[in-house]
Amino acid sequence: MVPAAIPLYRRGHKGRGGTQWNEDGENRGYEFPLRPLRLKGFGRLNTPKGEKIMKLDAQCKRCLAKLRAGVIPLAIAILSVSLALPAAASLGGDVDSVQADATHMQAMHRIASTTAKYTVHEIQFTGGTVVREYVSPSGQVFGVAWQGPGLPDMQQLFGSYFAQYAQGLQAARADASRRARRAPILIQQPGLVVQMGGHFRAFSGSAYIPDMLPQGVGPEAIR
Amino acid sequence: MRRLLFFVSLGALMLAVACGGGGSSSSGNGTAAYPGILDSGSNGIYFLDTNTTGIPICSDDADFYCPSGTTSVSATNQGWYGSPSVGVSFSVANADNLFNTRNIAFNNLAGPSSGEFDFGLPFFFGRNVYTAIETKNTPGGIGPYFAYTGFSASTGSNVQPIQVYSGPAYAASSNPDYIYTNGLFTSVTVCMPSAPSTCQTITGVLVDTGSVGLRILSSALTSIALPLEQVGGNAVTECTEFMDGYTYGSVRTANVQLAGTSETASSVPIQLIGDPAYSSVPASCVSTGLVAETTLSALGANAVLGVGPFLYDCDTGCTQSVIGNPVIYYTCPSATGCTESVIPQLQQQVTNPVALLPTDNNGVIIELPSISSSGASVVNGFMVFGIGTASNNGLNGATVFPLGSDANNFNTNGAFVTIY
Repeated sequence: MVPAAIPLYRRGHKGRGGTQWNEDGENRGYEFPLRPLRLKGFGRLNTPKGEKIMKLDAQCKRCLAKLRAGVIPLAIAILSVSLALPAAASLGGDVDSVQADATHMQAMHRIASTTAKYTVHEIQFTGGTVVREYVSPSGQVFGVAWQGPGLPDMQQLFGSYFAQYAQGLQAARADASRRARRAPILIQQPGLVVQMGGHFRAFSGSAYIPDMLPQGVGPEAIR
Repeated sequence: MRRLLFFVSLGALMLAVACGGGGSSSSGNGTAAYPGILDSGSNGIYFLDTNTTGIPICSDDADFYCPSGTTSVSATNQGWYGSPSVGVSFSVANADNLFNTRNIAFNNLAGPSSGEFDFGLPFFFGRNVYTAIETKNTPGGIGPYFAYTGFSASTGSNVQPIQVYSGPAYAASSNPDYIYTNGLFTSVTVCMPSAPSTCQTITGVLVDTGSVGLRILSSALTSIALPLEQVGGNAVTECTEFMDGYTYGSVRTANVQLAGTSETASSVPIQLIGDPAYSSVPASCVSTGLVAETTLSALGANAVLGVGPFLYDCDTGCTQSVIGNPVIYYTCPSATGCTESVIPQLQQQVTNPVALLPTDNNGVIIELPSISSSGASVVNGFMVFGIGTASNNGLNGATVFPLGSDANNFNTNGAFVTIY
């Protein structure tokens, strides 16, 4: 039996959630079974902003049931916050957008690591694609990275930087006579750096905003 | 004498430089492991970065390396599960100098990547490269794997010619901007499944061990109308993600004839790129941000023949979900109403045509002769169907590198390991 449709990334829903219809009126009828999580531990953590994130036990079906029971009031609480926030852009956006998106969509979300200089949020999708969001102490997403069989929703991930990213890709392949073919891509602009690589069915990449890198954090941290 | 000088200077460099290096050689401390693939559809060897290798990037094109002198790179290739472990080396020439020769084929064109070793076409010159398809049995074991050994030419009814040349976009336009460097091309014949002698031969088809499935530009398929695949009574389209672009189009079925008429795969799901009947590209495809490869100039080929180590272009991910797969499938009750859909049966996905041949269906061999270090304008080679299925397609001692094979876990997805 296939569980109820659960949209992962919202598209065209700025600050709204819970609906499966995007701006084009298309029904995103997603369906997928829950997969075992590769995360360990179960508990509540306080983020620097004082909000609660739940870590999910990989083996714990009971914990998943608890999560489902507990996430609805939590989601309502977070949604009511996110409704007041501006567009939920990930890159360059506020960390609340990461938490709200992932919790609302019941994607597997955890804090992968925390250092004095930044926190890494990790969102894992059914097919194995993983997105990492690098958050500064002030709560800003200064870098993102992805790995997986398919790309995440890049429009969602890049937010207001999407046009710059897409145009950068076009420009990277504009010099037809020298064109690297089926080759990695580097977009290097003062306001945005994007690296894309991998191969068919196994993509990886990263992006960051140079001005938003916290003090003492270099781009090699984002991967 | 030159050899002696090379080794003397190599020794001096190894003393002078700790890890990585400049000048004429580059090797790491053998501690870092990266995924590696053999990708005939990629036109360079793309690996590591300038900081790790010590090889400078071209000042006018960040896609390629431009060492002052040709650099020899050493690494170790290893099967995904740890064995075998075999040294590998290749040359990296100054890309600016190579392009100035006006040649088309180069065995030493290379550039940076973001961590993976993509052994593109330069690696194939002077070698026979085997691609074994997952689940298929071969004398070297069950696929998926890559294997390679020195070049030798095959002849037989399971062989078809392949060629590196300036490509069909240049041939069609005479515009030097459309010259395709290190493009490996062949011809493929497609026929109506219901009328098997109603066929069209497509030339300028890119031979790609890095992808799976036959994808034909609708602008190139002019004389036959292939039937649409139907899922749940609806037409099917797909958005296929490649590293630097996407192809979008309808899924149709065709008989695919290879090696002349000797090898025919029946009712193969293929992609008709840029199908004008389904020209409206869905938002989820556009929002990849990738470059649309729906014209000859963008794609660089009339079609792509993906003969990589997989059976289907998406596998079980697309039977379960519409998110996070390398391909987004859509069903279309109307031409402008395409919706993301799971595809219930694997056999309905765009499929590796070689896997559907009646015999000789466990993989392919790409055979390309050696070329000089300054390149070549045309290189002729052979593509052989089957591994160990006939007298002309044995492994001949080629080293077999098993690949990771969990299609749903990118970490193990169709790569071996390269240690630098």
